Amino acid sequence: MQDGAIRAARLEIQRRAETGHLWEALFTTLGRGAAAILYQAGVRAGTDTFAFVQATWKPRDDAELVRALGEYFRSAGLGDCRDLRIERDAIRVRAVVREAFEVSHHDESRPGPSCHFLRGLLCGFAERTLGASNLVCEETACQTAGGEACAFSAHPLLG
Amino acid sequence: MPQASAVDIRHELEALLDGVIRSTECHAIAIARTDGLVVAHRGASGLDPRIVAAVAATIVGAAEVVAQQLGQGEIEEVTIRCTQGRIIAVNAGREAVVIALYGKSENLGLAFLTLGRVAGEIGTLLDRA
Repeated sequence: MQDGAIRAARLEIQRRAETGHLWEALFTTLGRGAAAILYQAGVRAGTDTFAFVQATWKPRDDAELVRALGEYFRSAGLGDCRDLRIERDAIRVRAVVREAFEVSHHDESRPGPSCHFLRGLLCGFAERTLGASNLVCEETACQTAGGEACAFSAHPLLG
Repeated sequence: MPQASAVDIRHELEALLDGVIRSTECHAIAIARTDGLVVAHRGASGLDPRIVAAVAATIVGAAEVVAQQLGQGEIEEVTIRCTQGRIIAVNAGREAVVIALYGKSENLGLAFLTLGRVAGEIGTLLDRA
């Protein structure tokens, strides 16, 4: 392995370890309240992600936007976003993500879905994409619960 | 029993929140899921309901950790006394939290009583959703 590749691998391992410590500390001190903080952070990141993807890839339609987001997910180490559907009529965005980064931070003692930051990110992204406000995003399946991938649905509140 | 529609449930939840504001000196009230998603809100403009919901979930979550670590059992409510007013958060079923803002002079006994009753009804409603 080249020196550059080794350095990159070390940095990636360090980054993931640090994120893991942060996630663990949040849940240790705030209990299930940590999910709310991670979700809020995700919503803001999702808004920024939309702007970054628009500025970088300049997608001309939804199909290009979907491809661009997939590339962004991979390059940012967020996961493998294989299936993203933008359903404008239903005011809904669905996504299927494999190897979502939060899955690796999951603690078995915490039941339920684990990808709170990604839920928020997809919510913020969906709001900007659809021009909607007050959407919520739920994780309908999670790899930590034995699923093949994590599935998300962003939609209007109680809708 | 047929499942109630999301719109029906939202209306019922908002009616419950309106009732709290009418019957006590509550300035603002919100229902949040324990993961911080806002479910319904009423009251003071200028507050971001999404932030209020996240704060509610966070303080109740943190209080649960404190209660557990100190061996004090389950939390019944969280009260924060501030120079400008009072903040009360209570669990509403297993998956939701109600947070309410009151003035400094509010009769907290009445507030606890009302919030406790309404939180139970909210929990039941959300179970139907």
